[in-house]
Amino acid sequence: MPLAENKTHRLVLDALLLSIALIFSYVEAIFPLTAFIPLPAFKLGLANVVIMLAVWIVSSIDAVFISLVRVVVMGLLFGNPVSIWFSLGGAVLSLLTLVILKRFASLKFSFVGISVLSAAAHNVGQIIFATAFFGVKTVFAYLPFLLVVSTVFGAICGALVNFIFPKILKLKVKK
Amino acid sequence: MKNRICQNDFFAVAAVLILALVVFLAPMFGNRSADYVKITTDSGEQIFSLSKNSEYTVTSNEHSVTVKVNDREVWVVQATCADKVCVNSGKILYGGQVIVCAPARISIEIIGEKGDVDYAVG
Repeated sequence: MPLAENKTHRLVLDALLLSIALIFSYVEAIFPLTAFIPLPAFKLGLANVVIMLAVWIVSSIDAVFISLVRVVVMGLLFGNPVSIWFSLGGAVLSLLTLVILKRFASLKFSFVGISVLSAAAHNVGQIIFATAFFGVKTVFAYLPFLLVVSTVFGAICGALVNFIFPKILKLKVKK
Repeated sequence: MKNRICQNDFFAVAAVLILALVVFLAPMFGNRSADYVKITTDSGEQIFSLSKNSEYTVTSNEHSVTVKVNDREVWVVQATCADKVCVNSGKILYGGQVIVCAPARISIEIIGEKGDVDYAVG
């Protein structure tokens, strides 16, 4: 399954995936989602597409690195010290879910299910961090809405990846 | 992973939606003898009795929110924030339920036991 044929190929793949993840995050940051969904702290979750692909194209470990580096870079460029922690919290739980899914249930879901579950995990992770920061109960009020919206977007992203993945597997390095 | 949507995907979606529902309904199983409403802002907390019908306007982070208490129900009548999520949140009446105005950093919560209350106004 992993596409990398040697270490250099793997390094290049990681770098490419990281760049794409950063671009997706940037586009996401600019996109005025609050015009459609009048709730703050919502994200389209586009970067998750890349991370999911990374887990299955390269490996779980590569995906972990790509995700964490993306969070830090985006936080440094566009965020503030507080938002980095929220992104981290969400990313960590999301990554954990992806790793567990790959290890134990790799053939049971298509990317739609994987995307939905990792998006939900991302939200739960963010809420847990926010609760630790601000105090109990208050932020939990957000969670149901976050979960519902992320399920919709997660399903869409998952369907996208379902479509892309076979094409990616066909990519070969030119000798 | 498979490349076509399969049955397990629907289970995954259902599981997440059920989780959302559970989290949403959880406050209803909480404290029913809740007697106070606690409004938390940037500058601190204020606690009001649920038995007294009244309107309170609080200001925080350059936004102001008007909260109405009537018939032991609490809701937001008016807010200066841009998204008005708090206004559309409806009424809360059970212990543990919360209305939040994120831009204003204001939270309105129903609390119950005497232990939660440090002082009460009204």
